[in-house]
Amino acid sequence: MNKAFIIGENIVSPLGFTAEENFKNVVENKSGVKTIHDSAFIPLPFSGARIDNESLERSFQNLAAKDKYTRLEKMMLVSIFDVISQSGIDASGSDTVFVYSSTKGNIDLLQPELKNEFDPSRIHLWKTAAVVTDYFKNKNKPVLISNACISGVVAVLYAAELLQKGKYKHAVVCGMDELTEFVVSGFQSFLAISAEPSKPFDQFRNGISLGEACATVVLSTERKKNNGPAIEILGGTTSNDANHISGPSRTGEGLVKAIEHAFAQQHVSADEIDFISAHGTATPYNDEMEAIAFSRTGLEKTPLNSFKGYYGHTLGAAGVLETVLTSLSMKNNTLAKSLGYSEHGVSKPVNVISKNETKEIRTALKVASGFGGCNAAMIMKKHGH
Amino acid sequence: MGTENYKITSWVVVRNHNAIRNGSVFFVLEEVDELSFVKGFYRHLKCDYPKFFKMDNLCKLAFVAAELLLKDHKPKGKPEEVALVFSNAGASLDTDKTYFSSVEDKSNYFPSPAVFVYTLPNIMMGEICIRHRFLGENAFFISEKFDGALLADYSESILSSGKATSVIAGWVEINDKEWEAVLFLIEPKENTNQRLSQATLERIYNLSRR
Repeated sequence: MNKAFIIGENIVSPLGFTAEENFKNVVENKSGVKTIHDSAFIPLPFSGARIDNESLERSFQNLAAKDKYTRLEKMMLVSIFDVISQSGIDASGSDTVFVYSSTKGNIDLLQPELKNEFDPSRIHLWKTAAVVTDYFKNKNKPVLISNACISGVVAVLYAAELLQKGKYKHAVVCGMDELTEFVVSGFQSFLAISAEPSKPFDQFRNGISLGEACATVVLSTERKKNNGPAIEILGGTTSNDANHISGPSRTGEGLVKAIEHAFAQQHVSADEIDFISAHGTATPYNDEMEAIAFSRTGLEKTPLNSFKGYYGHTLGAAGVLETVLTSLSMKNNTLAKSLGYSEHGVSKPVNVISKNETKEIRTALKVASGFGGCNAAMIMKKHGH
Repeated sequence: MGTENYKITSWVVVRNHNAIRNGSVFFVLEEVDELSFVKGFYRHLKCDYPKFFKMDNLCKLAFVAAELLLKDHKPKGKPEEVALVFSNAGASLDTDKTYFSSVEDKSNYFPSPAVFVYTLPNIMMGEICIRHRFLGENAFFISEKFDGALLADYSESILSSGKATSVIAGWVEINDKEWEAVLFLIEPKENTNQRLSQATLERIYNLSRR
């Protein structure tokens, strides 16, 4: 079986337009989340992270693209353009496949003022994937996964499997979602949004911050020819709680199954895991459910963080975004502080990282959970130092 | 391992006011709108499941199709070994439009969590998992058209890796032109000639197309 190595990484977010810039800001414990007062989203102030339009436009101009693109597509083009130049792959090659993850894609095209600017088909996720893949002149049929908040992890796992099975040599995996009135008003209707930046795993957490981002990784069957460490996606699994469509299982059963199956599939044990990138949305139920699941799978002492304090919840982008940040944490042997956490607020004594630490990270676990009762667990491994 | 090791042990096609299972017409209700057809189908199935009436149209359609698929055929394997691999073109756009109309007009602003939760296509897999206690793998793909190769290859991949013992794969789509649900139960089984392949999936998908 082939291996799937990460050979290119990018994040387009409020914390920067390259992976390095983003990671530097995370290590400096800077957050992109602010309190937003803008009635174009909802009548009340809410906590969210928004990409500056002018900066995005400037970066997009560098691509000298001829056609007209939506704001989300511009984020994607900027992100993918960067990873392709980094990795040096032939994006148009027949052995390269494009895999995308998103929950709402171009949903903002429902807005009356945007509706007539593009062909009606443009609102479809498959169309977004087609338009962006087309820019890079790739002829293989792109794949788009839309599986709520685990979409990004599913996309990375799906792409890694294609490479492991020898179907392609390279995969460009791009996760994206935009901060829109649609999403903000919807989460607000659930009373799930915090007015202040979110506090994952903290005693005073009171809901999510929403964010927007596009994150991309290039996976390849061959690691980069340099002396630095290389991160491999070993694999993982997904599961369903079969419990409730909008709330997580109280017992963490679904996430426990996903983690246990991932360990069994990859022949990894809990004590080999050096770091967990948790889902950590900062809703009371999610963080409690995750703490129970980590406790039940022997991961109570494993250092963990949630990157949601830095970016807010970026929905379909989150899994890819957190894959990039986990990869950089592993390569830099850095455990980044779980921003917003100060007083332990879950019923199990899980090890939330309260300040940055330097530690060798050889094996990491990335988990996610989402509406529809879905859970995902993925294992990443470092080769070299 | 390849797709030849797995069989389509049961399938349903729900389209054009017809519900067909394994080649036989199970239910027909003509000259009504699509939603009335699905509700009539639900009553005909005689399943007592009040949550059905809270679901959005896409989930209702997926639900009745899954009921028929699994009516006399429990998938092989433990609950955590039953995987769902679903797809469509429009994601949840039908309900997205309904939801958006509740926030678009600021003088008539009433966003509802009961509607918003259905603005994700994978919710239909959640509903089916709750109904049938399936705990296995979930993946939802968006493609412009029914993609037999994608469903066959991915189903084979999770079966051969040991992640699942059986897979319910399919396509559930609602758009301006039609409502259609086509579901397949894929298992490792010998005594049927419905071999899992892109061609078999596409042949069944195209059965009652006009």
